[in-house]
Amino acid sequence: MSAENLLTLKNLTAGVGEAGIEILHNIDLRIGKGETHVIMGPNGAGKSTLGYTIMGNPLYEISSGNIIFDGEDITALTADKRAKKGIFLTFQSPVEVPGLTIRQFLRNALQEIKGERIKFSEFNRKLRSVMDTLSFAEEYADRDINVGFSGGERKKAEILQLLMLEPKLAILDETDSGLDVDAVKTVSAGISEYKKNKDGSLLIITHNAAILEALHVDKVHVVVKGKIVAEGDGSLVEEINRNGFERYTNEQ
Amino acid sequence: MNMDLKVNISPALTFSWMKINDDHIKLETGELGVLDSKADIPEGISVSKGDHDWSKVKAGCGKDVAALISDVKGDIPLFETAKDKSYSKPLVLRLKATAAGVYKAVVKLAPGSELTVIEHTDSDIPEGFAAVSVKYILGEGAKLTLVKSQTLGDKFIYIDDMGSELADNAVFEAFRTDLGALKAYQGCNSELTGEASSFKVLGSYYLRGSQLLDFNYIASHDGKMTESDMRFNGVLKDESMKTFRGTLDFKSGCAGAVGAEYEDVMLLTDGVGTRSLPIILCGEEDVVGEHGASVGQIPDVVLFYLMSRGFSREACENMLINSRLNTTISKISDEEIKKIILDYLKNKLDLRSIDEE
Repeated sequence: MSAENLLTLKNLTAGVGEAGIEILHNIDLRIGKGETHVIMGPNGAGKSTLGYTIMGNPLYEISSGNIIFDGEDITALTADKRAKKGIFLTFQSPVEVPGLTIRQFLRNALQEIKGERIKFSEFNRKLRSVMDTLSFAEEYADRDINVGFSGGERKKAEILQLLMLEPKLAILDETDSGLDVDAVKTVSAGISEYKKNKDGSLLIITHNAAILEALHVDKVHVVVKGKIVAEGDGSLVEEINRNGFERYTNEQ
Repeated sequence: MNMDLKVNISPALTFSWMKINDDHIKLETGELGVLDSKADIPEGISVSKGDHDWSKVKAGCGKDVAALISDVKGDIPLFETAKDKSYSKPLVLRLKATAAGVYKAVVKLAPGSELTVIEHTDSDIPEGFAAVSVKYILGEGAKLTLVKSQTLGDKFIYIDDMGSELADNAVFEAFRTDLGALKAYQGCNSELTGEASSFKVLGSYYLRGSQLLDFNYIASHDGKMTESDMRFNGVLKDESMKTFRGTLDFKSGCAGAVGAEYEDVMLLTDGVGTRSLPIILCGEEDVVGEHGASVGQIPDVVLFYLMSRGFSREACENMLINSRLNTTISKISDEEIKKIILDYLKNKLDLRSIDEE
């Protein structure tokens, strides 16, 4: 029996701004509650665009189709409203915000999303526990967001946000790219923690099978030239790792 | 009194049609008095009165302002530290502006001493004129941290005419937060005469309505291996206007000196104005001088990043303004003054503190 629907993309076509260059073509995708889906595809296939479009980046314009999240059509909603409904995106290149510490940022974000004041003591307790899970020294909580962070620290800070904000759907956009083996392990531990405690859904955009090792993958979608060209269960990841995308790109 | 003061004159002039070489203050005010002041003085700091070296230390606003302030009769307090003494408590100067007044003082740090000065200027009335001129003299190896803030009434004209002289290995670090007044003029001249002396300033401001902020910062490098760093982070909204003049003046003989000046200005609306005149004067070959400016609206990528964490556009602006101001407000260790600033942000500017319980 398939899980209850969380996200449904219906015939979604999207492109970049005024020039109207179409990047995604007629995407149909369904993610159930608690499921883990993986998006794979060659460089430039439109994988990140898909993540951005679901999150509501205004740079990308939806020309047709719908995004249904938790039973509600969110196609016209801005990113902040989508976040409040429970969608989260980790960024490939998280931005720096000087003057705003991780602690301040996360507490305020949590308050925005929950719509209620959160006591410092309660928040700090939770933050400490999550930072422990990620082997993140607590002093980082009082550093300005991503300012002076290494690539690995930025990715860890994204997973920290994921665990603190507890979204219903987390879209991980190449969170494992550019990380060394140990950092991949830490990030993977964070993702497992999210799955273990939150029963949340995952949409993982990746080139790297290592991050998927500890996860049960429900479905893999192969994206080529903005279209979903193949779908399958977790074994498709291994198949692609062995044979690459050639057979899919040749078909297009 | 009707006066036309030429203020914040750039040490090196550019095309006059750019109208950035200086500014003018047209002043119509009653007799100038002395600002109400209250000082919390840590134990071990001596206080005396007289001219001391106030008139000898050059400030940044120019001759007209110096003469105006100098002509006002009244005691000039001298706060003096003891040699090699480090003060755990700050010297706190609370200045309350009246209809028209000035405040002048000298803070002298004896060699090897360390002190933090917290200076705050505000008013209970909406309109008036306030001029503040504190001169700082740092002996060899002295270390001064200055935390300045200003929340004057909406129609005030405010002048801050600051000057400093630094002996060998002296370190002067300043943080300032400027929020109030209709027109604010900051002139600051720092004479890095001693070898390896250092002057750093980090300023933040948030201008809205038809507020104007006019800066003139000069780091005068005389000593070898001297260092200066001047950074300003600001936000402009409505029809507000900012003019920044920053000069790194590397004098002959200051070999090994390093200086930098940076501006980061966030523009929230189309009607704002921002002008910058960064100058590097080189009378010495072996120096490093840098300047940079980032001026523009909130980058789309930053806005999307923050919105993807649940913040509305308005909340993002609020948070980004707060984050800029917080870089300097966080340095205010006096709880009473910090509360004045945070209340001002909340009640006057409708900026909810990002640290609110």
